[in-house]
Amino acid sequence: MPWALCLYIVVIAGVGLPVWWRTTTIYRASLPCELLVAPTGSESDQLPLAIQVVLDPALLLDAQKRPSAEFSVSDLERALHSQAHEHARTLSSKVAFRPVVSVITTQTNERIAHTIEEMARALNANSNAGDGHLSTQKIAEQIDPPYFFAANMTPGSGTVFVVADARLPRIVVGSSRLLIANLFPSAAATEPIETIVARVLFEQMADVGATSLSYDQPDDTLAKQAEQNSGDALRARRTFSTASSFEVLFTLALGAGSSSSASSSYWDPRAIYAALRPFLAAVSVDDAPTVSSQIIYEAQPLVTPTFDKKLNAFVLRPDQLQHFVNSQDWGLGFSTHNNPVVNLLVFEPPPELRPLLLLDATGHPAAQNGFLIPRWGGVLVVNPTADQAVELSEICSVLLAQLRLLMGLRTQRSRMTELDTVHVLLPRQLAGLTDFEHDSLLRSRWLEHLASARHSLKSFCQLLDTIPNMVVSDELQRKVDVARAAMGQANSAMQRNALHEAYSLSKRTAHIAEAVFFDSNALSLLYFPEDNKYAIYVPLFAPAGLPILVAVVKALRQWRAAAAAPSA
Amino acid sequence: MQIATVVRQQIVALLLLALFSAVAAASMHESSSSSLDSHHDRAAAFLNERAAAGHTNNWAVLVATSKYWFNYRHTANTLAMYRSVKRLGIPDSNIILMLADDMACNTRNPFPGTVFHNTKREINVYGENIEVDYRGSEVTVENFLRVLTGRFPEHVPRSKRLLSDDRSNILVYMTGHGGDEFLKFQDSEEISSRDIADAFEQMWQKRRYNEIMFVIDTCQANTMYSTFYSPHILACGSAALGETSYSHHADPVLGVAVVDRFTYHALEFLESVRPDSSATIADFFKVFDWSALSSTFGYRDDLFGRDIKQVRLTEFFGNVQPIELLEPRVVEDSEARAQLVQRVLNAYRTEEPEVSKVAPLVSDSSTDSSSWQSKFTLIPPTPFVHNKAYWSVIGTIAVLTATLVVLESLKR
Repeated sequence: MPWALCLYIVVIAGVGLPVWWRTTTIYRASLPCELLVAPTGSESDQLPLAIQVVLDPALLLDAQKRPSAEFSVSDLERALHSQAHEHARTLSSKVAFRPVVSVITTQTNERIAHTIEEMARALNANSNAGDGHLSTQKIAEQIDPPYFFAANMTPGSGTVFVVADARLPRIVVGSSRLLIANLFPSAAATEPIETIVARVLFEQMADVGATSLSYDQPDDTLAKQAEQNSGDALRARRTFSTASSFEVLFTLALGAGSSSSASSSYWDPRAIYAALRPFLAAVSVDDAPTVSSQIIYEAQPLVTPTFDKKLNAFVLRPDQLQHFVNSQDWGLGFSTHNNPVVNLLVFEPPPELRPLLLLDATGHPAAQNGFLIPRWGGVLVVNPTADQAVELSEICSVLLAQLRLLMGLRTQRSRMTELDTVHVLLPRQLAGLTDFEHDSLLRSRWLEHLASARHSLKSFCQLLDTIPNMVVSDELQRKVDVARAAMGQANSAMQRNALHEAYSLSKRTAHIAEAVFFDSNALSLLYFPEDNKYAIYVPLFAPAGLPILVAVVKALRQWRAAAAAPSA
Repeated sequence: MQIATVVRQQIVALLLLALFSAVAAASMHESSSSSLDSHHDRAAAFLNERAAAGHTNNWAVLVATSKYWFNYRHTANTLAMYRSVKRLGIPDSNIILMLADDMACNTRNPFPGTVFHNTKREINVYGENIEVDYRGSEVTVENFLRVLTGRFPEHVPRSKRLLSDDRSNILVYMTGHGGDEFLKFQDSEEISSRDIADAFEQMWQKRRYNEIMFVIDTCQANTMYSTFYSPHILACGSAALGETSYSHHADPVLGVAVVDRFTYHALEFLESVRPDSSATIADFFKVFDWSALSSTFGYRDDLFGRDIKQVRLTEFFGNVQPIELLEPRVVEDSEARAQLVQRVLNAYRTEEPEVSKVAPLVSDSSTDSSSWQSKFTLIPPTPFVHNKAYWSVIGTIAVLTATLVVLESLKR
């Protein structure tokens, strides 16, 4: 009997319990959570800014009026570093800029030599052509170096050409990655040229606010940011996240009574796409967006305009515009992909409500008769009349301006700090954004992607702490490893100043981290509360344990009986 | 003597069982309460880092967790909410509607194709245009949690996903049969308040919402939000612990109760709200007093962090889009570009339209970025070892075997 009992106990304890334990334990592959959850102080992202300064005597040709001032590279370096320091202090994200300045004086490089030659000739040609200041247009046509050179300039770097010419503004920001610094002192100049150059370079190259990011930042930074700089908060609010690719939907909404034949005369989605394609290609980098178009007939906004006698037009106030888009009836937002949709909507009011003007907060007609809806898209109201048709180029340029804002870019004009001293040239390419802007966009998205990836992994680890029933499979562990490796690669690519590579790697990192967080298998054991566990295991263990108890009791009784028998 | 021994042994066994379960229950309770405390601390810390003001989009997740004709009122409840949020501007693409949807075309429905929420049959809440995202037996705890947490297999279409972001305000409405900290899903499973709390935490961790309003109409509804711990959640329910959430009235023609009190009064109020209304959440909550519900309406705003007197109802029930007018500078900018654009357009128009021009207009981007995924094969779901049915069968067999063993051994 005792042997049978022992065997029974051995089977239960030696086989049953381990089998139960193995089959019911929640599997958790080990994740490097300590590394991921670690305080973020040490991992501030380093962003190198490569700057070349071209100091060539050929460019300092204004001999008779030659300025006494010299361009000091060490001053420029100092100014750049103080700018970097300033950024690190004020910028909410944990970014450290690392300016690297190199000087080109001798004509070692054939391409550079050629450009210097070209530019010197252009300056010479102009110095002969009378006095007075050159218009921006003229500078753009004559001084801005040829495009073939700019196209070959390393993405991610900036080149400063130091010149001396009385008729040039102090600073000219070229359409490609270059900046012309004029040594010739203007009367209004109060700052040394190096300081201005450093500031403009930072404005152009280190504008990394073009993200939709609102996390991975120290406590209440955003609230503070909103108070201090509502522009940045607004920018973050309207910018589409770029972790995934996006779709663009052109919509023409025709009010009741707008005849379709008249409308089709200006509405040509293919032409609009042709006009916007260079920009879309540039902002989506290597991931072309899906583009589609639609026309909505009998479109009725959710608000009715009122007639304004003074303006002799129908008007809508800004608070009414909040209800303008009738997403319910206009069939917007239906897409086959899971990517965000950028809506670009052109509304033609019914003939009896024309002209329809949108008012701004002060009651004046709003500029361009259009408005933006953050993270949704842009709306433009057009009022074609019998004698004045709508120009498609106008529509396209407004849509382009709206797209720029939705992608997180600033308006060029708003970045021009001193209208007199700094001239910013528009891009010659039709992309709608300068090379400096493109580089800044890549930099800010690199930051966004890495921050988002880090955040995803970190939150996942925190969730594992909070929710003990989550499963972590080996596949998931591998994905985390891949994500971490990609993160390291993205970082090292950025340190090498390989912008495009760094960008694609960061995007990949964000994708994998996202896949880790949203792993569909992690849910399988989520809903299994503790009380259910006990309700289920008690009926299992009680019957297994009872025979043991009974047998032990019986054995004890027999033993006592056996012990009592001899004495009796 | 023999019988007395059996009785004594049984008492001992029962005592042991009782002891075991008592210890288990105690330890379980302890663990849950201590973790709750730490969550509260964390939530308090989170409240300080309020996101920059405002949301940009609205979502609604509306769930009726029961089916069959006698639960007509739950379908009517949910559809009443669906009607309201749609009327106030949330498009179907932003509404996840989970509904058994077996009422409108039920053979017992004398008014086919309709669902009414009162005997006057004024408002057909089924409406002309309805998009049910999860229908019939798709309304499961798993699917509901997948919607909230976003953990979907890849093939799940967009209409079934809650694609919210850090600027989304989400309205979550649930109705069905519930109890203390649980809600039944179609008589086959149940969800606990803890599950919803954890799902909300997962959403918060990934910043998939700006604010959540959780509304639940069920018996003992207020227990459902007691375990929430993530920030920016406003929750309200129709009945306190131990209370029943009553139906409002029955329709003699349909033969069933058509609506619950809570939702009936909610809809009555919402019908008076227009998209540009300035009614606040506090105004909305005033509707639900004892005389209207016969149960204790409850709400919880400690996680929410804003004064409900300042929060407009349309921030959750509507879709008020913030707007930005273009600055004059943007206009200058675009005017300067107009020339360039004009040049492109001219170039475009002079070119012969070719087939190749048409092709890239719609370029498919779905094939990209999946290269890394090919390295990972899809993992089959882990066997559900904790399946209740499985264990109850095992348990029953074990109990029977044990009883036989005990009887056998005592007989000997």
